[in-house]
Amino acid sequence: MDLTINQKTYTLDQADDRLLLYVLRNDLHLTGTRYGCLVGLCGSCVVLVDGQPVRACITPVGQLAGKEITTIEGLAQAGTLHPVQQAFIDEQVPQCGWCMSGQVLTAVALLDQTPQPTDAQIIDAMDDNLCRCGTYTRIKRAVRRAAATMES
Amino acid sequence: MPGKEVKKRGLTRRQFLIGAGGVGAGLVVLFVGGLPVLRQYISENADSFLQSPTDDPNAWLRILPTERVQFLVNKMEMGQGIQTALMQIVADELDVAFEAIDAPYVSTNTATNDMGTFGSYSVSSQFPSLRAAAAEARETLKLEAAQRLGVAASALATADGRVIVAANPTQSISYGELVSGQTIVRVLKDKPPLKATTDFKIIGQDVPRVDIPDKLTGKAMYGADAWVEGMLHGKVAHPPSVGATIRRVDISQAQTAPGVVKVVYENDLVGVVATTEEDALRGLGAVDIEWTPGKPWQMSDIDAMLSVDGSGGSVLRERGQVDTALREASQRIEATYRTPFAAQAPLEMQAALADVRADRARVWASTQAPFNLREQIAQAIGLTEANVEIVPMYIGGGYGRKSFSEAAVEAARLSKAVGQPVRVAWSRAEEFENGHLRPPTHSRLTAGLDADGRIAAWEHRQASGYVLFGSFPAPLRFIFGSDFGATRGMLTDYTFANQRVTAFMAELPIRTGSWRGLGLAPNVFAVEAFIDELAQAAGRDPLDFRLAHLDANGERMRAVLQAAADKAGWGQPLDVGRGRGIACCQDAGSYVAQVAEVTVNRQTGQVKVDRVVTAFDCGLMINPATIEAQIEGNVMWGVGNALLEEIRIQDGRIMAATYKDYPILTMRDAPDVEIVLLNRPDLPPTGVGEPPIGPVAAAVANAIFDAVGVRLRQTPMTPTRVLEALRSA
Repeated sequence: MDLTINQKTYTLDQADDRLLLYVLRNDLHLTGTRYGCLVGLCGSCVVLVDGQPVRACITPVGQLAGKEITTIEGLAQAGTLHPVQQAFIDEQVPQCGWCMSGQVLTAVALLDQTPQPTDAQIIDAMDDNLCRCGTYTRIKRAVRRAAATMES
Repeated sequence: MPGKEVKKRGLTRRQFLIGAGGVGAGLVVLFVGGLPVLRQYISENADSFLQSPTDDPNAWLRILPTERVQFLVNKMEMGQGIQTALMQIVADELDVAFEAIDAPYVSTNTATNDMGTFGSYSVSSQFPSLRAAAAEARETLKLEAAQRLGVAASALATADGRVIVAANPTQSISYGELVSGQTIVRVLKDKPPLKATTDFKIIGQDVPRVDIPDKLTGKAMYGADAWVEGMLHGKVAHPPSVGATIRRVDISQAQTAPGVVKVVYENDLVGVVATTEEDALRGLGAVDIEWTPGKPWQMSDIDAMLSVDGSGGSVLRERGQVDTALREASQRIEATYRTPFAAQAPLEMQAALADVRADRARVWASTQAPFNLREQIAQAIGLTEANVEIVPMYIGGGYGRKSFSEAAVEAARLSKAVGQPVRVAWSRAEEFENGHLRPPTHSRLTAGLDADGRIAAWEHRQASGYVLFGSFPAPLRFIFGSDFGATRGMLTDYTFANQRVTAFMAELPIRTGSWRGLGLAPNVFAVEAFIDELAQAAGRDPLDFRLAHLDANGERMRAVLQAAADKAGWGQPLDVGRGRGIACCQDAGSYVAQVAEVTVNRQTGQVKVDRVVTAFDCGLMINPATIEAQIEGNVMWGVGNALLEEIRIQDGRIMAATYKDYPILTMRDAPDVEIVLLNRPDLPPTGVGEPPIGPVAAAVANAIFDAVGVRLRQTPMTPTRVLEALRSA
């Protein structure tokens, strides 16, 4: 089957029930998609599938034919960081940084659907993305900052 | 943590190199830029081992003709911003721009030996030695410039990577020009002249962290990300319960399972190596293992081991006549506090890649202690340490968990068995069940108040499982008497004339060890919640009561208490069902006071921590923005610890497999965090990464009392426990 990842097409010869996480990380070496629970509870492995946040650790690749997959490696366009990435830098959000790919992509999907989210909407969208370092205050600030940048 | 060992590492043994003469610039360049380049190296040079990029592993600083300064950081980055902080120190003392410093990640072949990154001591321990190394380099460059310019060295100054004639600033020469075409090696002996702290330009600034951009693009490489072309995947069987041992193994089914390259069964190790991670997992599932179970330990067994009775304890402090003072006190108050097993639960679980050859090995891992890991792996695979190289990667959450890298040892053993590179990655259940937990504690506190409502006598008897003792041989345990990891936070700065603090150690059947702050959070919870009980018994305001028990030596503690109280609006009324609590501690040389504001739902028992105000004094601040970030993280940890985190044992099993079983704080429950930093540039920098977790749980417990009038003496303060306390009130 063919998978479209970050606007490139990859032909896979493995079974459709393989999980996207392992295909990304182990086969394609796109290690920017991280993982922290392998059962869809922590959000570290979030990627975008047609713009929607999807947990790669519980998603078989068979479901993804013909869809556009975006990982953290494909978020910047022509060398320019996505406003959410830039906002996370400006707010100095990451500590260990392991969960950040999932945080950033979840925030991108949120702002795509809800360009000016309320604090409650930010929490509703982001609450299932765990951050053990406890950067929640800064994540909220960065999402608000990105929303402001993207509006202007 | 262990200050003694750190001090033994002599400054005089350190060397640094100036100039690039015979250094082999090509290899150095390979590592410049850090991990992305390393990744490229890994993928392009899978079957050749890189020679050490430095001639001398003791080289710490290297000034190159390109005007770049290479600084080999031997502390591990786990989000605490250590690379940036240490680079700021070097840049400032050396008088170069921050941007002129390259701090490549190094391996055990290229870094100075170091015990590890823990205990909030990286900055405090390296601040003097790094400054000395940089100052020595700066003074050497001045001597070199004096010769070239025909000016006395005393007439020269330095700024922004140049030596300048002080009287005529147009006359100057760059560091790069001075070292061009020659190699100068200096061994640091005497104390070179240091800058006045008032002249710092980069220290004390909010320099953006160098590790952050790559953490937002996927470029940063962590231990779990390491890969080489053609690597295999391994999984190792772990006991289903504590102390279970292998009785019988049948590997026949697994050997023919799809993708399986080899089933390894040697001594205590049963593992499967396969071409994919999934095949390794399925292959391990096909191994038929019969286990002899260990004892069916229950929590009641563990609790019984944590006894504070009898005379077997180790006295940490004894002042005055405690027993007499307790007898003569007007009021005697006693309370028991307990904290549970807890897990570090880093989002990045154990994972590592090992490439073991006949005569040498290289291992990529997330580790807080690469040199300890090197020793462990050398032992496990029968090589000398010199032939084992550990390449430490970014750490996806350390918090004490990554002082041990079990998966790296497993990967090395499997790689040795198959003669190919093998990656081992654990599941969340393996991480919970086979790591080490924070040990539970039991504290009995007894105090006597005099007629004036002052604390006349204080006795704290605490029992804990091992924190650091697990790594010590029995004779050392005997000599130390108590585990200074487990007792961290027990000694207070209060002026109790009569006090006795005793620690009892229990060797539990469950593996226990480091967790952010070690004993700090459990012990400060007990001490500072009990202080509140005494304030109440004395009819005093909790803030005033604390201030009244601090003398002139407690000036810094008084300052943080007052600052936190002022910022929090201490004493201002709150709505019904809401409360405010204060607590403080001194740890790793730093002072912290916190005020928590909570809302308690009397019907559900639910506690919401609305706000935590922290006042913090860590001496000279290197990077205030990073200090704030660390305080934020510690507050989140502290609140999670106070309200949520607990692991139970049942039938010899550790009862946590997913984040559902061990919830950590999420965004919805994150409190507002407010911070007051008290800068003390006149004092040396002290610890940041752990001290602010200390008072959180006590501040929350004290706030709950303020809100609804009940004392919670056990963490986590769950709705069930709050309701129980309300019912029995």
